[in-house]
Amino acid sequence: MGLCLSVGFFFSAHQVQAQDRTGMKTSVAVDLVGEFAGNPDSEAVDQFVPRSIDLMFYAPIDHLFDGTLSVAAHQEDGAALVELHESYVGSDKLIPGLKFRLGQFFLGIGRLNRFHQHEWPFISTPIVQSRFFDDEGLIDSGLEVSYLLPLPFYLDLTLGATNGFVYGHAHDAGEKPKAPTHYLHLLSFLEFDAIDFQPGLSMLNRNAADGSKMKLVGMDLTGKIRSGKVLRFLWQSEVWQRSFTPLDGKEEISTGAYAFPQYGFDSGAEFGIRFDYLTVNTKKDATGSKVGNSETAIVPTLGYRPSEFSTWRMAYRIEKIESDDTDTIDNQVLEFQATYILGAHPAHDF
Amino acid sequence: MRIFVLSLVSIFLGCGSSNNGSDGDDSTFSFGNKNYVVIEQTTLNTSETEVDGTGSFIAKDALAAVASGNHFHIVGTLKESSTLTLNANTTDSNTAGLQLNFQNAATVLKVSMEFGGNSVDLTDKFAGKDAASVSYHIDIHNDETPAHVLIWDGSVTEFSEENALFNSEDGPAAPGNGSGSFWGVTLTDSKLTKLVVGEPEFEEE
Repeated sequence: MGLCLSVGFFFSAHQVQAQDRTGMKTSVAVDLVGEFAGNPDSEAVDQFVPRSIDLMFYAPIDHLFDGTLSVAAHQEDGAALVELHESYVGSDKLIPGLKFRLGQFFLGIGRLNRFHQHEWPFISTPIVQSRFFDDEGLIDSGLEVSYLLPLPFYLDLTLGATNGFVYGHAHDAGEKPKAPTHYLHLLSFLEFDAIDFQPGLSMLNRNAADGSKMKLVGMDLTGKIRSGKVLRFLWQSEVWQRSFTPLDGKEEISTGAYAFPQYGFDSGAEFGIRFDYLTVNTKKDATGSKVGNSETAIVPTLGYRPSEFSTWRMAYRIEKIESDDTDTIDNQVLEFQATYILGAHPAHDF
Repeated sequence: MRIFVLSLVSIFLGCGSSNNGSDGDDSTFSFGNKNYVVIEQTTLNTSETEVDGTGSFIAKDALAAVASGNHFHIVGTLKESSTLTLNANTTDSNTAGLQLNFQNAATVLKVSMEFGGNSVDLTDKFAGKDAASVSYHIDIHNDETPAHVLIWDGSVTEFSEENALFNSEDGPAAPGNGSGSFWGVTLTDSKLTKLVVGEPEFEEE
């Protein structure tokens, strides 16, 4: 019902927007996904559903500030749950080289966290993203400031602090943390002939209400080779290490990464393979012996993008959970995705 | 020579079908083809098919991580006034875990959830359940805050929210999150006949 209301509201707003001259743009991004069992032990739900429907409004508020509002409907317990995704005011016109966001937003760290899920170049969430952040990305309310440092090369520094009452998937308002979630992202940009690179370095600290402490350090690297309008080659990767110390527990260190090389054809077809890896470095058994463990995935993905307004993908995910002390879990899933955007489309980041 | 004789004697004593605290200082045992480490030995008697008495132990194999979701199937019997406690996401000294307590209180099954000195009574969710014989499936999603706990009757095979006797998302909420990557059990004059851990049965859509 909520989903119907949202979609109905969008069409009303879209019709209004067609007539107004305020510069407000609207869009609806629909992300349809399906997953089906690829082996007898598969955890696939054998369903094709709308994973999310994002309704976005963005516009200049006045000569200084811009505003963004996005509402998303997700499938939860068989029903569409409508929730606020982003609601922030920002500006890049106050001080040269400086921009800020105030409100609720996806935290500007790493690579995937900075993009809506329907904009990702693959269907499923990489293991490291799912374990360390959320299946979709970290959302919180706070202030984020970015400054293009006055250096002879491109280096953008982002600092942010958010409420930190919750972290990742939550069904309540959470509790006041010992300190706000705070983070840093250093982002550069390099050009080598036809190859453009965007390397980044991220850090995040969280001191939760229950006394647990979490530190994340990560590196992200995105590389692109374009041939005319065709994205001939894409490299996207992130490596993260997490230190998590519960109030009365021992420090647990985990390391995870994914890498996704993709080749693009003139026809709009693209083919890539994602490699996922995650391990708990400090895992030991009750006698104190170190326990080797890993979660891995290989995800060949075939896509077709006739324009920036629609994408069609299919993939086969081969996941393994291995540990010295337990049986290997083998999970294979056939994935499908169709995404489309109605209305305007925000400018693409690199 | 004396050491050799003593070794033979200890091997001989160790060949019995059960162990208890008075047998020696052996701190590990096997139950249901899984290995456990005794943390507190009062009167624990262990065999491959049951553990009874009073004491506590943890599984030798750790969970995937502190912030992980796991499923437990626990079957046992409770004498009057006896208790059986599942310690999920506990430390290697069986402390700071999220505890689920089952107690036979004058033939009424009392159930509570406890963490860090805070206790939540769940007894009304188990009204009419046999206090002497417990069999429950339990999902503890310690990767959510607070931990998401679901408890189903031992006979359930479809692990949905609708079939759960208790779902902490519907309240009352869990009093926190376990602080370790181990799991264990504490018995007080009770008996355990089955103990299984695995991947969580319930997944959020």
